[in-house]
Amino acid sequence: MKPTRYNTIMPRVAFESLKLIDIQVLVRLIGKNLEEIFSFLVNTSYKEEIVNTCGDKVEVSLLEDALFNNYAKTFNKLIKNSSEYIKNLLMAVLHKFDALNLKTMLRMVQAGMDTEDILQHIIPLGMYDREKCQTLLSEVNLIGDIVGSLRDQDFGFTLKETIKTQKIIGDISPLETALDREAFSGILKEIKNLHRHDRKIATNILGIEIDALNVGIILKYKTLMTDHENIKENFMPVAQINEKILESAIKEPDVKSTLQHFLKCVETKHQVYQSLFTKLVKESDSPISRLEYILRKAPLEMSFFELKKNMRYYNIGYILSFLNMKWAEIMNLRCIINAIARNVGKDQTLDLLILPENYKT
Amino acid sequence: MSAERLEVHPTRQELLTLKRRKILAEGIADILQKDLEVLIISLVKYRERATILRTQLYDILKSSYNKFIEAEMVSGNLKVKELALTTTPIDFNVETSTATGVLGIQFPALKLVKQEGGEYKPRLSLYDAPIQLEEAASRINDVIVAVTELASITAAIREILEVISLKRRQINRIRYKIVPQFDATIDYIEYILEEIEQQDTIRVRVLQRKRKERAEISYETDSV
Repeated sequence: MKPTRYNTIMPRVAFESLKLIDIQVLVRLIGKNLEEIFSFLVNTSYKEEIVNTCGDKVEVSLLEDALFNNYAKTFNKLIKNSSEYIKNLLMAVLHKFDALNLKTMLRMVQAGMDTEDILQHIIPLGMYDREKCQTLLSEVNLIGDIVGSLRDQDFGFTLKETIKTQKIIGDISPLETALDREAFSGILKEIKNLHRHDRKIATNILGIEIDALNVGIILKYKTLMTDHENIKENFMPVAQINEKILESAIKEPDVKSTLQHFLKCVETKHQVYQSLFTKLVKESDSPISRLEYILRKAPLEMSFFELKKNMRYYNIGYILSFLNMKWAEIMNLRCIINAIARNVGKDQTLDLLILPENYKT
Repeated sequence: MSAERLEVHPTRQELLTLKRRKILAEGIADILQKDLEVLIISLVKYRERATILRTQLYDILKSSYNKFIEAEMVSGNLKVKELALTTTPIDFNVETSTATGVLGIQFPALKLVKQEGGEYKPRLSLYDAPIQLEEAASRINDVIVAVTELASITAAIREILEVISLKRRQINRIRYKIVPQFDATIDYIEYILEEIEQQDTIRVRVLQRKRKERAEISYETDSV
């Protein structure tokens, strides 16, 4: 953990952190109308994107787009200011959004949508932005051709291999799984290249997101599907909760016993994992959406924990925690905007916001 | 308003036939009235069932819509739209047939036929779709059964209402048209018969008087 690796990025992270909206202020936005939210955002760090994207139109989809544009701008600033050591990891994290956009593109091409419609659903993050997607779609309009036109290092190889072994023609779920798996493998691979202490922090912060995803998949299968045989095909690469734990969890008869099994398995693991599964077991009788919400909050909880634990200024934890906080802020703003558009009550909105555990209204 | 008379010969035979027909018509009206009551009871039952089903339906649809909104809040308007546009639609069909209901009336019966897939696969993306969207979709899936049942009940109610209106028309026709017509015709025949009887009586008296006069004249002639 050499300070030289952080000397340009840390001031940027510190500066960007100051731009984060205070939680209390964010919560106070609930119940206001879209014009008020627009006026509020125009006076924050989102000003440029709001003005450029929305103009004088106040629409939910435009506001959502502006928020993503802001995240993209912040992310790009961090990449620009980071050393090679950090840049590779950030690029790997950004690949997650590439996978997201590619999945959108494949799904919509499969559904026979027009290029214009597809581009509306592309989020302006990562390498596969609207411009690149438009170029790609103007040349080809079949799943096989799209996959064929991708470079091997940009998911091309993985997708081509997946198509070769595809069992059901026209089923794109294996491609979606392959994209996510590739993106998360890339992140875990880049984590391994970090320095020992940074590696530990990054594994915790980024790993909990992947583990939460795997746990979420098992819970979804337990609740919605009768056939548990093909859960394994959908797993992401593992971080702290390994394949053995996941496979034994599949065998549990219901959601409660599955969560209890996870809790037992993480007894010797990270404190945040323990508190996460304790919370999940406690709420195991709640609807699955509540459990998913707890899992969704896990990366933020881990970020706060790592921030408290690692007080030394130069570590990857600051950067990754900032990214998680920024993402949570964007998710919360999006949640509030959609709630306003649909006249959702204050309590219901508050229940869906990703807020710190110790937050009191 | 006086009822129209039937075009019949004012004979005693016709009077007896008309009286018999009137009794028969009143009997039919009573049977129809009883049918009507049975139909109304059945209509009330169907209506109660429809109300319960409709309430359940609205509750499920409302909760499903709430989940859908929650999904939009969690994953964003665009993502939900994207997932909704690209998911595989549920294959189902509605078979129509007829079922015999109250008083042997044939009701249209609707039956939901779902395509049973061999392997159960998630409809929405496991990673990108919020669970709320799956929950909303599965609730809508359950609601289709209730919608089909409600449609069947609504069709039965419509059929019962049609039969009720037909029966009511028939009863009204018997009570307010046919029976008064019979009454008017019976009254008329009775009146005519009475008139004929009176004329006959007078005629008899005249004849008796004439016979008496003739007898008196012949007696006087004989005595002279």
